[in-house]
Amino acid sequence: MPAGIGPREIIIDDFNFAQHVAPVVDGEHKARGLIPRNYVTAPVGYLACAKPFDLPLIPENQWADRLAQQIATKSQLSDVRNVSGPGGGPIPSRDQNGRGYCWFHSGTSANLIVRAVNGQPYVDLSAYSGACIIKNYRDEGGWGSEGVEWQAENGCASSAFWPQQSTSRSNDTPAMRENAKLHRIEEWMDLEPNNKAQLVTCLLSGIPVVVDYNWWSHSVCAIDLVSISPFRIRIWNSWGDSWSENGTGILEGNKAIPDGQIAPRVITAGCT
Amino acid sequence: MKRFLAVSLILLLTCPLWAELKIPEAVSVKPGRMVRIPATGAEKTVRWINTSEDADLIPSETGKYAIFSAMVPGRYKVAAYTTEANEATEPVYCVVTVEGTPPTPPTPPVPPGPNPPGPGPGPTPQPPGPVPIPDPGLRVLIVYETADLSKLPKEQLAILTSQAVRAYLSSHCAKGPDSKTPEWRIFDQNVSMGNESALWQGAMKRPRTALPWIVISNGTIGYEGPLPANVDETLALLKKFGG
Repeated sequence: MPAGIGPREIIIDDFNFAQHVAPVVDGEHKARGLIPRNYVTAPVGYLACAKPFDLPLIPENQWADRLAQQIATKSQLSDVRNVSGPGGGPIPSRDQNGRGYCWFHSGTSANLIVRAVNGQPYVDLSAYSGACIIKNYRDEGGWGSEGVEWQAENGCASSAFWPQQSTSRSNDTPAMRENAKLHRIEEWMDLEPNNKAQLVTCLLSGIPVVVDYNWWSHSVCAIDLVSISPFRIRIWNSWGDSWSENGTGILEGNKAIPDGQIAPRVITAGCT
Repeated sequence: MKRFLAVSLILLLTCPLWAELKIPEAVSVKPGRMVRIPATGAEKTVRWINTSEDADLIPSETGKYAIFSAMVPGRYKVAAYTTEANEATEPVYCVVTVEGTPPTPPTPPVPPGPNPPGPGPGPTPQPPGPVPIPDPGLRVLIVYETADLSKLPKEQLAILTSQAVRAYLSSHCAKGPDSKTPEWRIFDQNVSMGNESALWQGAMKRPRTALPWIVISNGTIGYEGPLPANVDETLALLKKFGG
């Protein structure tokens, strides 16, 4: 296996992507749910909670050095994820469990990563708590910033208030809504579609990115730059820990360049 | 009657015609908090003088008291005077001590270039000062600005997500109210703190003169200053307080 990639970690590229689009894992045909964002009706910066990305770009000639530094000091977001879950183990991957709710799970994964970077207590966030309400409990797709918009305003409830993968309307209680508000990422940064430099700047700065891929009809959370040539990133999927290696996989080349991307900026602190 | 007049004359000669303006000689206050400094003994309006640009002094309408506030720990001097017989009185002074450790001067940020410089010098070592977080046990707060992350030297940026730093913090810091979560935080300076504990709210409100910034406290002594240049220096600094 190439350096920095787990022994069972799936690498998806231009040649093999078709077999990984909707695999069967543990007997389940994995769902996706991305509806491509229409940048005419939803241009960069269309959300009040997500101003256009404005971080100074890291020059490309610095990428290799900064990536090497991250690897040498074990300071990538995957390193953070791997020790920030229950009992000091990995944060469990979200699992959309057959519903087309990837577009909310990707933002939920980003929320979990930011909380972990902050040192906040681990909370088992339930993506269904937002996705179900937004779509009126229909199994319906969306795009990453659609889920982000809800999270910025309403947050995401813990599984103590909305059990994972539950579609019961009885979960929607005032207490659940209050709990969800404790886990908000209030400000985001709206990256340009297909902008590799903005994506890499975030990943080398320790910022996760909600990434939408039209070729995959799927939205996931990008967490690491893995290599520059070939260009590879690590994404955290919402197909449970059984997919690939512990729920993360590698996208390579053109398959790594997102058609839509949005990154967290400011979170709410101090909530269980 | 003669005796009454004599006593009155003695009293007039020995007592001042006006009461003497007085303000406390010293008061203390926490950074960012307000303290009321009263002025007594004056019949006319009392005027106040703020001798520092880094502090706020708001007199009441008649000057019978003033409200003082400053963000940065240190000693400040305020003065007050009034008028008697159409002439200003001698000023009286109050030394206000804003508690806490004065911050060290920030290390100037190094802008990235084609060949970014290596890690700069570490922060000026400070003698242990008043504890930033008085609760017992090691607690650490690192504050940064997201907009600056991509400009930070790579060695310094690595501190924020370094496995070695996190492992040290998680194993050495006190546990929070849930008895599980280690008491360390790494926050953007704009994070919403409304739902955090009073302890972390207070720590976030402490004055900073640079970003990224680190606050370390073991309940007895502490340190506040610019984040060190790299992981090794950060661990060395932490170990001075956490063992």
